[in-house]
Amino acid sequence: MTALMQMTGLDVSLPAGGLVGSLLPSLGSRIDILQDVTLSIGAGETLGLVGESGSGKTTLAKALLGLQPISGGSLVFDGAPLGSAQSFARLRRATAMMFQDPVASLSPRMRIASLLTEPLIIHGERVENPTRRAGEMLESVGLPAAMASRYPHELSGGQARRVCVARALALNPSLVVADEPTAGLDVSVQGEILNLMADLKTRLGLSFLVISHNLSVIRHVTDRIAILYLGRLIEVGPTRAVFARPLHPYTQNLIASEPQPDPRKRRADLAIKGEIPSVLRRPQGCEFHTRCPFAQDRCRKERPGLEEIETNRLVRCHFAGPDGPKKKPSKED
Amino acid sequence: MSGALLSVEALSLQFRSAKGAVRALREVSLRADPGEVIGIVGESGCGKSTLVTALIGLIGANAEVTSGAVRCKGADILSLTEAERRRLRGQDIAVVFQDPMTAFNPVVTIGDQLTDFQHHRGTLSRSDKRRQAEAMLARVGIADAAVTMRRFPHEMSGGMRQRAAIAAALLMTPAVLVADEPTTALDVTMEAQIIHLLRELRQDYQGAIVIVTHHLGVIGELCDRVYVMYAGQVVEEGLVDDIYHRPRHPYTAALIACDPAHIEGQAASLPTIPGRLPDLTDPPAGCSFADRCTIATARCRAAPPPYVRLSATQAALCHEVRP
Repeated sequence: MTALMQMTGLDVSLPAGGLVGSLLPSLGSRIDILQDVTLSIGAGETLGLVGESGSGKTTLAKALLGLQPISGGSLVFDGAPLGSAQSFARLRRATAMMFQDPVASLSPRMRIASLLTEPLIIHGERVENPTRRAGEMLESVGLPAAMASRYPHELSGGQARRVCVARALALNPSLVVADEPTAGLDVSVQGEILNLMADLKTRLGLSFLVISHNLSVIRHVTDRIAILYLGRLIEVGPTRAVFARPLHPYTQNLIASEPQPDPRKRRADLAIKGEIPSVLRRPQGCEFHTRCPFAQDRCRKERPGLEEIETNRLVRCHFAGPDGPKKKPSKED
Repeated sequence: MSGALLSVEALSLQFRSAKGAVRALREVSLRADPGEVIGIVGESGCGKSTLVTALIGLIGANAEVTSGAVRCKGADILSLTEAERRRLRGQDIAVVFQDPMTAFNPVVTIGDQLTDFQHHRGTLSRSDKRRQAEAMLARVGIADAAVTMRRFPHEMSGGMRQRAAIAAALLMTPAVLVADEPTTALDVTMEAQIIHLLRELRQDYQGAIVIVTHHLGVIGELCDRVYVMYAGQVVEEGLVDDIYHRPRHPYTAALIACDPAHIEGQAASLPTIPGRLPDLTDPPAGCSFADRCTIATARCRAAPPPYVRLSATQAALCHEVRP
């Protein structure tokens, strides 16, 4: 599969000025949000990005679309390197973002017709009959064309999502970034949005980057997943393989933490210990060692690299093997 | 219904609005016994939150109870005076809310707040109350309870704040603990830890726990019995295993089928429930779910469905179920 979007060694850091900088002088001048992210999104592929709050998921999405300046590494979209303002302007025509809160991302003072045709006007397309054009766009996502004359507050959460899907598709993008596409939707409605996305993907050959902390959603809609922890990729692999046999201890814990809607599958011990550390105080060595049940001396000192353990399966762990991390030998404690 | 710590008896409640009365709860009945964990599950607009506010007597000024009662240890909460209700909250019934940030006063330390919550415990000195608060923080798994006592809410993570909120609710050892979406604002690993904590607490807690959530996984992991709500009504009740493996009401069955966590492997398309909730200012004459139901008949649209008792523990509000 040829890569539509290739990120190589991507770093994003924010200036540690102001109060944070003066209180924590040890930080230096910048706080690292994302470090050394090398990841690709293939043409027609759906990539899932998973991680806890504060792991850098949304920052990565923004960096991809040029909404967040990068401090290191490179981005190549469809064979052309990104960097200058012009290259990002071209990129934005070929990509679209579906934001997390659909109602907040639709201006409350504009009718749906104007909201849907605005991307076309911004990118210099002539729109002869905005209402008719918007009506066609609404119908393509399964909404009545008459909805073009409504305002966002008149829509339900599911309808607002669909409008955001329609707007994201306005310019026939090749890559759509969906940030938490089912957040705030009821179980009975979220299937509609996921089915719509899957349908559009096959019909239009779209690539998707789906960001979610809902593992069951990720499991159903993505081809490949990447797991972020404190701004670093810790595991990348095909969705099926990762869910069937997670290799990094964090991935194993994350998958085991998902509550099961089946009382017969209740497990005695669900809980991963501790909390995600702050990016202001990154642990030394492997960043996961503070919560890892297998952590050894080496993990506390030496930072592991992202290694390809099997074909297409990358893991950042000193002790990961094809059977997952090995148990700590008791004498080493 | 003797013995129940909490019972709701045919409670109907409506809100006044410009468009007329919104029938938010219709003939809701449920009970929770000592040592039991019950779940109330439903989607947005089913009346879960209204029910929670009714349980603690916090219904708004535009709400009106048209019939029924909420009894906690036998006393009808809704007919008490405001002063009596104040005494009841915290002592007999306590709530853990969804958002652990807004549950605390942002300018008072956690320790001072947990001490003040014991205001009605007249026999204890203030230092005893502080000790009690610290012990409770340790009980809910906060490692450095003494330090946490001096912290302000913003200095704690979401998971820690939710632990502190559970500690606050349990301080007066209430007979009934209501948890309204206790894990919705948390990450999956924190969610698992809170589920773990609630499971552990029930071991030595004599009261009843009521979990209100839209998350089928949380109910599956925690509860003994479940009430499924739809459009302001309880449409099915049963043991958690029966509800998840032998649901009888078509809505319960459809809801469980929709949860992607329930589907093994990758499905080509995910099931949904087409249609929308009925307008609660003018609920349908027949079954509220009839328009979205796959087995609905003319009778379902014409006449209100009976609450059919299917076994000692299971019942469903449906024309089409048979014992």
